Amino acid sequence: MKKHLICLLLALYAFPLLAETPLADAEAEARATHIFRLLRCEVCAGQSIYDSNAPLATDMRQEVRELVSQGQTEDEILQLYARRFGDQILMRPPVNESTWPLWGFPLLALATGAWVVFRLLRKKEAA
Amino acid sequence: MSPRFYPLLALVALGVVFSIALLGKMAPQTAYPQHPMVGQPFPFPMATGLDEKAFDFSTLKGKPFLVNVFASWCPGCKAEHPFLTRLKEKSAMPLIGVAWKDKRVDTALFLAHKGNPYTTVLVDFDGKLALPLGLTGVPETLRVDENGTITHVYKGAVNDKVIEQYLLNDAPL
Repeated sequence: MKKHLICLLLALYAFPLLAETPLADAEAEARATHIFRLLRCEVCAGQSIYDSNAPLATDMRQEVRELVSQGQTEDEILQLYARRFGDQILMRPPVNESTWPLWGFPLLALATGAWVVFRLLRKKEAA
Repeated sequence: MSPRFYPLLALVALGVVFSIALLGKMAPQTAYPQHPMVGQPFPFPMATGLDEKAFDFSTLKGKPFLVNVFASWCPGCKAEHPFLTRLKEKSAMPLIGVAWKDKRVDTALFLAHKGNPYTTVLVDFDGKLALPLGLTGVPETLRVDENGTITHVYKGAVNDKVIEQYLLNDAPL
């Protein structure tokens, strides 16, 4: 019995959502859960609010559920959070003048790398 | 130039662009990094006081006020408390205290022990009041102007310098 109880408590800790009351409407809960994955937990390292046990993430999940049941769309909710916390609250920051290097540099680096490999292979063939 | 140097050139170009982007970010527009809520309207919610009475933020409309979000369990809040106590001598602006994720008895003991610098003390035990303010932790202090716009947000413990220069006189830190 004790073992089972410990297992249950550990499971609750591992899956933050298990400890919360989901929305009665399963479709609305699914939409809310999808939004949880798109919002960053501001006080955690690289986690979305879906993954986090932090009290702030719990508050945010609760509010997202309320907003979803009020009929707010995913975009409206994400915009609301970005207005309050800045773009860093979004797991996928939008491409704008301050974030373009995030998206642009990996592509540029990949293109440069591909070009170098191409040149080396051509040189090897010629030799 | 020999094509051999093109990759090197590309790397140097990358470095230059990175440096420009970084320097642009580092250039101080304002001395204290601006919170996304600055410039946005204060939500003027209904709240509950430490005395369990309802408090309507709308009663503060039309005059500037400060909001300090704190908790009895927060070391930074203990550190800033003497500075908030001295605020009364510097400004007549109302200072609304919001006890965040605290227990009523702990908040009451904290204020009884250290003194109450607040015009009104509100409670936000479930964090619902602070979430629309973009709060991620305590302490945090906001200033709202007479038009109901949030003009200042300071994350962390305030001191005389932050209060006098930034919150009261709008000078850069």
